[in-house]
Amino acid sequence: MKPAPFRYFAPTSLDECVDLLSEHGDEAKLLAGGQSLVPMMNFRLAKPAALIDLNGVSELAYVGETASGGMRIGALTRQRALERDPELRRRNPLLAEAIPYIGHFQIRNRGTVGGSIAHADPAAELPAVLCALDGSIRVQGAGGERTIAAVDFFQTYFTADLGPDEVVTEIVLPPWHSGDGWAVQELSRRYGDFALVGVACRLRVDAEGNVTDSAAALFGVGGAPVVPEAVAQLVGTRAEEATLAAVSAAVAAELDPESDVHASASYRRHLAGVLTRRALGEAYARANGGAG
Amino acid sequence: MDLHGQKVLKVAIDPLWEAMDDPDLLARSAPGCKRLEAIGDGEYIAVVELGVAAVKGRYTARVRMSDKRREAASGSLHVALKGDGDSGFLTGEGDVRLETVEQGTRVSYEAAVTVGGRVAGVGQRVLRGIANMLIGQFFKSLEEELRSVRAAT
Repeated sequence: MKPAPFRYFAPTSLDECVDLLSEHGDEAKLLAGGQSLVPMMNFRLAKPAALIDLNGVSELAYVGETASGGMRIGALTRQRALERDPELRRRNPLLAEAIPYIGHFQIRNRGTVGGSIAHADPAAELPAVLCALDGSIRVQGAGGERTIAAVDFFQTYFTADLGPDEVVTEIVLPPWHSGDGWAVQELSRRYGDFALVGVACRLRVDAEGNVTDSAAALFGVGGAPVVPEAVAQLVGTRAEEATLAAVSAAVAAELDPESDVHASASYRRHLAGVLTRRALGEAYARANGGAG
Repeated sequence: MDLHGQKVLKVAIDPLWEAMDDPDLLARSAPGCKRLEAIGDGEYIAVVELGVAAVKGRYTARVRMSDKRREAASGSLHVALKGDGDSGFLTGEGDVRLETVEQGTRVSYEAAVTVGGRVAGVGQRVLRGIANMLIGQFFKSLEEELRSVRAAT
């Protein structure tokens, strides 16, 4: 369990990192928390010729605010730092609820926000949360900076709109609307395993209890997070039991999950409906001043 | 591992049949294909470089197409595959069916594939999805290649 030989670079600034990337590009991998990359290197499945270690690029570790009151989270921010941020539950309760589902705390101690985003694992929580929140991803390369909407960024299995000479620098979340309801539901066979299916959702409700806005994203059901169209059917309703059942069934019907040793496609689809119904119900209760 | 799927390509069935005998076109359409050499009797040697996540590998495969049943508006062929590379090996065979539909040609496939080696041990969770994705990419590129050929003539 030792990696193949590689050249090691430890830049201390983003500029230096971008220079190294444009020099080594396709032959290099960026090392952030290393929670996915290092095991793959030790199995010698990944044999990058060069490793560019981001851990010294401290300018990428921060939690900040956008001009409009949203959040900016630097790519090198540890997942555990967010989990322990006492302000996070107020600033973005959906993100706060999703973080503890990422692996185990040992993984979150090292794992970074940008690493999870760039790796684009189809069962990962953060990509789906970003899609449900209408977030975006900022990347930098020799050609300059780009901002990509999360729903466009994640393309398929471990594939994102990120060039070999680009690095994820931060994620951007729109301001949290106080009063919005949220929920994350996930099922895995053991605590900390990859999700068989997961769902993250957010709902807004007016004074009469009518849903005015709804958003959701599912993970573990395809190559990238799935933003189901059917969840919009909740708008204008009071999320009654029958409505929730109909909407979650319509969401499940949109999905085309794969079978693997852990779960069959039909079980995944069934589970997606169940978890969606629970998540939407919980989010509605929180938005409506209930269990929030 | 069973693989199956279908896709409607916006091309007529005849150019698709001709594509099956055109190694250059097949090589351009297959994801990561660096070389495709016809060795006769419907058999090819393919060299493919694929990278998913940080797992990049070079694989060499022997592909054999046989039992072509070509009728006016439908047909099928049998494909057998045996390959290995840096991080694993694969054997498989299956059937591809072509059928003329209103929008073009429906391509459906059914195959039984065995993947072994390290890539199978670690990648089990996503193998089927990635395999179907690669097959989908192949048909999509084939469709684009055929449409651009048609547009150019």
